[in-house]
Amino acid sequence: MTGLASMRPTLVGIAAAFATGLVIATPWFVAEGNMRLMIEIFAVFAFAQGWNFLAGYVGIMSFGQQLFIGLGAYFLFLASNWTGANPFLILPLSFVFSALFAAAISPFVFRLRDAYLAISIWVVAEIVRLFISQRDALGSVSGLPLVATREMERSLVATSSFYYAGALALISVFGLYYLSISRLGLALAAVRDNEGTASAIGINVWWTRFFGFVLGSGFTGAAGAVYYMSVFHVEPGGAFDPNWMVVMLFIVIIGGVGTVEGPIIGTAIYFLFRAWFAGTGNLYLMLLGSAAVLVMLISPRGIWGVVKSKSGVDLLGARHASGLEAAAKKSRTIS
Amino acid sequence: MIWVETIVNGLLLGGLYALVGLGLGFAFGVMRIVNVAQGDFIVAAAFLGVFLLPWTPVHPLLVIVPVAVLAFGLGMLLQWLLINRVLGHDQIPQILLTFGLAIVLRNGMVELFGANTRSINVGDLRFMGFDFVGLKLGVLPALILAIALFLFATLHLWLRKSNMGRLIRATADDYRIVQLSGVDFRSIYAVAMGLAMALSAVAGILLAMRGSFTPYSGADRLLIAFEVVVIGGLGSFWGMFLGGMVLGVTQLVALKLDPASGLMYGHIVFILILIMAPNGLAGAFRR
Repeated sequence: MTGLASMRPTLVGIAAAFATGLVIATPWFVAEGNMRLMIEIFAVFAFAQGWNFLAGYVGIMSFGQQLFIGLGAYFLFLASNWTGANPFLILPLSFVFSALFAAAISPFVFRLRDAYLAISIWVVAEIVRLFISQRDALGSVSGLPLVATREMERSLVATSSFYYAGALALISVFGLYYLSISRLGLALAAVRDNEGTASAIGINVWWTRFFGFVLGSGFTGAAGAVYYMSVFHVEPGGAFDPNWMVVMLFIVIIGGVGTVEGPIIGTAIYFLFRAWFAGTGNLYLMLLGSAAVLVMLISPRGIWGVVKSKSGVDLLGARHASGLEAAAKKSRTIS
Repeated sequence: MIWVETIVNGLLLGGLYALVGLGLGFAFGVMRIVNVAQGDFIVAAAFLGVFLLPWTPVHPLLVIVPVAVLAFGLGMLLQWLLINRVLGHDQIPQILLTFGLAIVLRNGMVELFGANTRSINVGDLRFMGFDFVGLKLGVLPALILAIALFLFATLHLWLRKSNMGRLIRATADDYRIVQLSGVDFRSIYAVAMGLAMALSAVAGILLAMRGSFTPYSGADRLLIAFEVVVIGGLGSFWGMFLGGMVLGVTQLVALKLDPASGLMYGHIVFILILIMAPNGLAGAFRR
């Protein structure tokens, strides 16, 4: 252990304070239009980190995280429209609602494993999407507007949304870092890597996975609420769109599953791709899909995983070998 | 009487759903692999059927044969070129690889063929009906159930009796031990994936003959396949058949009661079964 390594949490703390200051100052320097793009980037980054947390840290792969994006958004819209309350005050409750929903479905989806667990969450997302699509009180197929923001000043709405999105982005970098070096983070890593060993050293496997799933899904719900709050309208086809999964997977896989830094790179690449291939529709989605296939064939650890192992550079120092890393080392061999 | 007819029609549809799940369940049973792109391959097979239809002699139904053969080859290639490279203790690379493949395939089909709804035209067969103890049933749905039953039984017997079937079962039991007898489990995996794809392709063609499809149907097809396998109890052969029946009946009864519900009630029944019988129906009966 070098002095630098033991000081790392403090250094990361300084970086976090600096980044927070940057986010707070941004509305004074950046035009409203650019701020909207930044809200979107931050929200999509938060979606991706939510999935990265589940897949890379908790060891739960889900193909249904669009469920929580939609739930968070719908909770915010309905609660605000029904009570007339300020959506910015309700937003934290979107986290609570999505987390509670995740807690409610985990007892039975956890009975399945791996791909089956992943798809069963997708099934729940489909149920909720179809349910909302058929209820006029919930806006049916055409969706809901966010009524309360109509009378508010536009720049105030943009600034507030930006701060929420910025907070999510900061949490998904620094919160994830501190979580991963905490007691809970170590318990999660132990469970992810080997459930038998984890329970042998006294970790309650089921509750640890449960807690990770609830936390990650609640976070995705809050991010979904921020995303749709900034566009003032939500409809079931968009909010529960499985293509959200495609975006999350692309960002995390390209960047590196189970790393804090990887999805930052992934998000940058995603938005660059989107800018370059805007208007090509399906071609652009095909590109995302084939990139995922290629990464799996060439290096399942993603860009950041390769950079880290080749150069030894490890910005945050939160090194926990993910399942993918282990898999890359020992592929099925003749025994 | 209308309800009895609905339920019987649900059973006929259920046979087809079971066949949709068979490919996925077989691949999982042998290799512990879940091909997330299975749903989109099913749709791709339907497109292939549409294009081979004009060259199909005797009867349109026979288009199944060339499509199944092509799908078998494609499945072997898929396993050899892609999936075999990412096999390991960890399931994640294989699942993400096939997920990526699914995205490419789906959007590629939209790009090539457009998003229109299509179906495979089997001529008069689609509208023919017959009376069965007072029930009016379609000839095509009954024929499809017969094909599904035939494929289930054939696969079952082939796995029991044939040499290759024995190798596949041995590989499923322990892919490492099999190698002591000089068998490369990767080749066996390729054959198994080819079979899984051929079965799925047949299901895809039959679905396209009974109903319709778009390039986006893959997601629904995958969810049906997945639910059939889980309801059946992960790897139980005839459990899957039962799972298909449950889903088929649920869907047709639900559509009678609530025409706009789509697959929602099928999904709900799946979740209910997961709550009540975590090991699937086959598991519930076994205990």
